[in-house]
Amino acid sequence: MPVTLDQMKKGSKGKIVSVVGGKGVALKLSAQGINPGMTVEKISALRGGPVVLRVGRTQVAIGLGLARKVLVEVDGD
Amino acid sequence: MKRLLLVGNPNVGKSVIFSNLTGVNVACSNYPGTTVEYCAGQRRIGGDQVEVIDVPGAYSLEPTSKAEEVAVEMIEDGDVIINVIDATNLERNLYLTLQLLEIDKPIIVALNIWDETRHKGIEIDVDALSEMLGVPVIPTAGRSGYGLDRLLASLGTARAPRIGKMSADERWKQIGKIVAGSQRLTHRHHTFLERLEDASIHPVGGFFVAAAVLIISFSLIRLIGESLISYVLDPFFHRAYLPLVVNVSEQTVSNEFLHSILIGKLVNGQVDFIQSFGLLTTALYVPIGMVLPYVLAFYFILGLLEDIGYLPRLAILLDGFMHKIGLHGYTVIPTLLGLGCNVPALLATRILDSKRERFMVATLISIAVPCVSLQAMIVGLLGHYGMRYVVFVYAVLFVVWLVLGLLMKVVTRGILPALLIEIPPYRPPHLRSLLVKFKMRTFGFLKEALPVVLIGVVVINLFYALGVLDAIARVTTPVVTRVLGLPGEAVLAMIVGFLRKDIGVGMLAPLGLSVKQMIIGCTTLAMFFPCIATFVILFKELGTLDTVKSIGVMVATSIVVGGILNLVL
Repeated sequence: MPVTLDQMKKGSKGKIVSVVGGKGVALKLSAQGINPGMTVEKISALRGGPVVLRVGRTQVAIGLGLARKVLVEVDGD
Repeated sequence: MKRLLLVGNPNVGKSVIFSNLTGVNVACSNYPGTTVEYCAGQRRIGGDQVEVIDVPGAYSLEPTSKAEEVAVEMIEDGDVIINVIDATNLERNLYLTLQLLEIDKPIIVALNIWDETRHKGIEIDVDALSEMLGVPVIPTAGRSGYGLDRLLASLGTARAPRIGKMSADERWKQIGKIVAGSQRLTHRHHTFLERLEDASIHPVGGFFVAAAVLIISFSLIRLIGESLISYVLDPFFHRAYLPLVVNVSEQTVSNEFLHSILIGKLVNGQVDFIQSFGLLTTALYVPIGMVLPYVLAFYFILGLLEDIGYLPRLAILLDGFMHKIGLHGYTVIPTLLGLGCNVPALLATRILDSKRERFMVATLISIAVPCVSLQAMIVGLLGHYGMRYVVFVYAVLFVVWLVLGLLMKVVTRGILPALLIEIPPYRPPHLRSLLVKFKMRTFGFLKEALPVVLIGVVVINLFYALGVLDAIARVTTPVVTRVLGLPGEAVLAMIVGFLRKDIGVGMLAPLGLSVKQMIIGCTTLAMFFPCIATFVILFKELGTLDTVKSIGVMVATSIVVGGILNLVL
C-alpha cells in the first residue's frame, strides 16, 4: 500500500510509485532525480517542515506540501 | 570567436573551474530580457582567443525555472560544451549529460570533484564511462586545478555522439546501465563532516547548530568590525587625517559657503566627523570609518557560510516556521543578505517563484531588516547608552517582521510554492573564489554608497542654505513631534535617511536626544522608507503598483510602531 513521503518512516527506503499533481510538479521533481521507479531513503523530517531524502548520492529537501504529492511503496511492507 | 560553454547542475564546482580557466577579466551580466545572471570571460587556447561562458546551473533541458530557460537558449549559441559533472554524484548528474548528448554539439565531460571520490568510497572507471557516453571524460578537481590543463588540451577531441532523443524514463534506465557499468561503491565510515551534515538538519540538534553558527557569525562580525575600527580606521582618521581636515578648515573659514560644503558646521569650535556634515568630514568618515569595517566583516563571514554550504540547511530548518508567516524556508537567504545590504537582498528575491512571495519578502526586508550600515550606526550611537537598548531595537524590528508577515499572509493572495532544494555536502571553503566574491561585494558597496553620500551631503547643505528643508520640516513636524515625540529637527534626519540610513541616524547625534527618543528615532528611521538605492531596486523588481503598496505599508507601520513606542516607553 503506497504512502506519501511525509508518512514514510524515517530511515526507511522505498520506491517512488507516482507523483500526484500537474505536469509542472512532476517535471520539477524529475529534474532533482525524483521519478517513478527511483529508490529513495528518508533521512529526516522536520515537524511541519520539509522531508529530507537521499536520492542516489544526493540529499534533497522537499517542502511538506510537495512531499504530500509523492507516493512511495515502502520496502519490506 | 568560438564559444566554450560550461554547463552542469548547480553545486558541481562549475564556477570554480570557470574562474580557474578565465582568471580575473570576467564580466557578469543579466541575460537579455531576464534577471538571470551569467558570467563570461576570455582566454587563449592553442593560439585562438576563445570566449568562455559560465552557463547558469541547470538540472534539465526541459526548463522548470527561468535559469534553466536561459541555459537552454545559451547552449543553442555555443560551439563546444564542457559538461561539468559531480563525480561523487554520478547518477543524478548524468540526466543532464544525456540530454546534452541528444543535441548535436561537440561535448567533453569534466568529471569534477574527483578528489573527493576516494574518501567517499566511490570508484569510477573513467574509460568505461567515456566509452558508454561516447564522449571524452576528463577527471578534474576545480579547487586545486587538477586536470584542467588536460581538459583544455583535450578540447579538440570533444564530439557529438548523435544519440536519438529519449523519454525521461528511457534516460533514467540508460543512466542505471551506465552507473552499473562504470561505478563501484565501497562501504566506509561516516566522516566528521557527514556527521555534522546530519546534525545540522536534525529536528532538535539542527537548532543548536543554527544557534551556534549564528551566534559565532555575529560575534565574529562584531569582533572584526570593532577591531578594524579601533586598530586601523580610528587611528587613521584621528591621527593622520584630522590634522589635514583642520588645516583645510582654517584656510576656508573665511569663505562661509565653501567651508560649509567641505567641512560643515564646527561643533564647539572643533571639526566633528559625525556631526559636522561636510564632504571631507561626515561624508567620508561615516561610510569608510564607521560602516566599511562592518561591511568587510559581514561579507567575509557570509561568503564563508555560503562556500561551506551551510545556508541551504538553515533554509530547510526554518521552512516549517517560515510557512507560518506564509513564506518558505528559502526566503531566509535573501533575508540574511539584507542584514548586509537591502539591495542585493531584493535582487536575491528573484529566486522565489511567486509574485506574492517576492512582494512579501521584499517588503519585510525593506522594513524590518536593517542593513549593516544602519546597524553600525545604531550600535555606534545607541550603544553609548547601553547595549541593551540596541538589543531592544532589534527585538522591536523582529516583532514587526513577524506581525507584518502574519498580516500579509492573511491579506495577500496567490500561490505559495513548496520548498525543493538539493542539499550540497559541506566542503572546505575555496579561498580564491571566496576572495573574488568578497572583493566584488566590497567594491559594490563603495561604488554604491560613496557617490550617494557625497552628492547627498552637498544637496542637503544646499537645501539647508536655501531654506527648503525648513519648509519640509514645518509641514511634517506635527507628526514627528506629537506622534513620535521627537524634536522637529529629527525630520531632517528622516529626509536624509532617504538617501542613506547611516547618515540619517548620524544626524540624530547632535540633537541631544534622550534614550527613549534615540530608540524611537533609530527604529522609525530603520522602517519608515527604503534608502534611495533600495527604492530604485524595489521599483524595478515589483513595478509601480506594488512599490506604492509596499511603501504605504512601511510608512504606516513606522508611524504606528513609533507612536506605540512613544506611548509605552
